[in-house]
Amino acid sequence: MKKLFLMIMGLFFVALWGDTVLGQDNKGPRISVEGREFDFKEVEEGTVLEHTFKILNIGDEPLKIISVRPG
Amino acid sequence: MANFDPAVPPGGEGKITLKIKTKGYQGNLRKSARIKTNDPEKRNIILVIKATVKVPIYVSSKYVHLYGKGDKGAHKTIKILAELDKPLNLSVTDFTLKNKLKYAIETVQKEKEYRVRFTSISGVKENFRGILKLKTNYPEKPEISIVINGRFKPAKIPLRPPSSGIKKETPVRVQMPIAPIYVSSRYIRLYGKEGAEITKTVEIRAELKKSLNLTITEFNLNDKLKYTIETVEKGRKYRIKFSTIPGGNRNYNGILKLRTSYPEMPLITFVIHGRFMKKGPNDR
Repeated sequence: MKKLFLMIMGLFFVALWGDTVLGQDNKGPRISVEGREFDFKEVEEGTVLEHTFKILNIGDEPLKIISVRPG
Repeated sequence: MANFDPAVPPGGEGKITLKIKTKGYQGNLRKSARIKTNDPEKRNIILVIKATVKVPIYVSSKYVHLYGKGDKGAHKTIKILAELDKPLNLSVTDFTLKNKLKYAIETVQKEKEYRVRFTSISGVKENFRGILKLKTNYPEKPEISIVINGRFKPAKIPLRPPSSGIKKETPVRVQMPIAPIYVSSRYIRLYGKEGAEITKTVEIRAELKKSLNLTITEFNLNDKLKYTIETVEKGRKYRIKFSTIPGGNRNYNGILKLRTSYPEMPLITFVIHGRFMKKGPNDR
């Protein structure tokens, strides 16, 4: 019974380690965007709204922006 | 519109710029852009820009659609509201649907809020498209244009034009020419697992008031297929039963030709297809 308990605990720690350590793997291109939504609040009709979103590549390979399509 | 850096080096920073024109918008505005990347975990990212567009004059709808059916009229009302802290006055400068539509401008709150009610004119049953132009005293918005679409359907679409001589309206039945002999199917498909006995039956019936007799003239599947002709009603109705010969498992095509006593249809030909699948390991 004790052995079984230790085995389950061992598996639990291995899973936790895998999730935290391997989850932080930044291999390949990795995108990170600072704020995906921007609110201009109140604007006058006719104003041209322009906003620049900052993107970071936190990976170890070049990140490509293949396309930007207005939806 | 969008501008973006097509590539960002590892550890680097890039930019995606989105541009939106607010002309013609009023109230809440939400625009999104879908970003496609080569990040295997985030191949698509959605970026959103939001705003509340303030207008000097709020118009609840710049497009009016009127749908009418039968004698039922159609009407629609729109609201015009001053959003600036000064009196608003309206006057009509153009209306292109004078004979097709009526409109009325009602003051809800003096120099602040108005209602424009569009009503179809009874008797007008055609589709139309037009415009109502209003002049305002606001230099920020000197004109308001409202586009109007009218679509009218008759109450009931007649199945066919009324013809003289027929009192009762009945759906038209297309009289198909009757063949002198009815044959339930001329294509016999015998599909099944190899070794199994497959049968198909067809019916032959005289449609004219004279005796029908059948004689076999050609059959080219003697070693693969059996057939029996059964007389259901003498001189009038027959049944032919086709059955595979057990053991024969090759696919085949063939014909059975019958000569009839009817000069109107002297020959009946049946095309026969035999298709057999191999037994699977789970088949018994």
